[in-house]
Amino acid sequence: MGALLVARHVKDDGRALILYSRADDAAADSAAAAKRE
Amino acid sequence: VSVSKVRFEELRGEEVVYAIHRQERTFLPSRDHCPLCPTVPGGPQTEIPFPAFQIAVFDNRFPAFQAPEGAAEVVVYTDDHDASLGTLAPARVEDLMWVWRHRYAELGARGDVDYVFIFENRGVEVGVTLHHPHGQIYGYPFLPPVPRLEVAADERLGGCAPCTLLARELQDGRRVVYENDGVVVYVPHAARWAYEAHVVMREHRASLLDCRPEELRQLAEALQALVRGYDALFERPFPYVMAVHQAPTATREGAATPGAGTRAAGETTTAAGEPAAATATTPAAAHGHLHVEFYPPLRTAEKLKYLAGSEQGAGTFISDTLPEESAAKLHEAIVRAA
Repeated sequence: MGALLVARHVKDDGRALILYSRADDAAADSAAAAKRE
Repeated sequence: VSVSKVRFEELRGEEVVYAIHRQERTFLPSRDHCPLCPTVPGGPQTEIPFPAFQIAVFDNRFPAFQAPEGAAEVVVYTDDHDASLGTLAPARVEDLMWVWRHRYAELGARGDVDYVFIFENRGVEVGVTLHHPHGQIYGYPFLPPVPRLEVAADERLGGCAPCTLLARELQDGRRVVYENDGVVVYVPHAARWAYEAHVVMREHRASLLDCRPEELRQLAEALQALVRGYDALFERPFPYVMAVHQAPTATREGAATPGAGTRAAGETTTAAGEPAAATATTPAAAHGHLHVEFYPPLRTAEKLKYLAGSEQGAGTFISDTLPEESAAKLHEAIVRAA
């Protein structure tokens, strides 16, 4: 998967959801999410 | 749960899929109700219940295919509603290539998926129902007609057809609109759409699984150069259908035969088999050369090409433009947009 992290989830209705992210961007994403909240 | 049905149309020798539950799918929702945006506190729950994300893939809520008879996934390129393939950061597009590769490997390994088809519909002109930048992946439980034609082209030309055609285009040179070390983009010699373009791996690569990391980056660069050029061509968002063609993943003998995925009675679907490697070398899976085809419906800034009598009734495209002239304009637009 190169430099990508793979996070697997199951939605409320049972459908699969996969989130792909760059490991080095994870911190930046968390900051962006906190800012939106 | 609604399930699609496949019937085999004998006159044309091809499958038709009935997914009647898709009639109720979300249609051009307002920006505030975009199901592909992140879920924000106090806002409606979207398909991605997180306040931010990079690339998301999920099972289509209104699938044309679903296990154990195929797959239908949505690939959301970004959480930015207003972005496009052309405006994404280059690193994000490169990441998208790895996501495509991952989905091709996982879906292609399934016994009920004979062909993994990655595509994007962009613009209401090609029937898009959600504007948020995204593509889709269908895992067909049979080998569809176009990949079957590509298998037949290999056999007709006595080897890999895309390799042969790429060599011809490079030798001619008039229709090449972009090149890098790993990828060549050209308006094909017999383009059906005015600004049709094929993005072709320079070396023979059956699928994304065979590409080196630098080739995935070069593919991302080529795709982005092309779509930016498209948007620059008429200085407007350029609608297109993008189709990623790779090696079939069928593991059943006879998968390249029309109707092989349907039973004689007609209204049924393929049976799920045992999981197998995506690189299985059955007669159908032995074919394939990774390339991405773009079918833009615009023939001028305001005029659309419609599929009418000759195209639908006889199967022959009548084009108003010469590929060499289109290629010159598209090349100029790609340079201008770079």
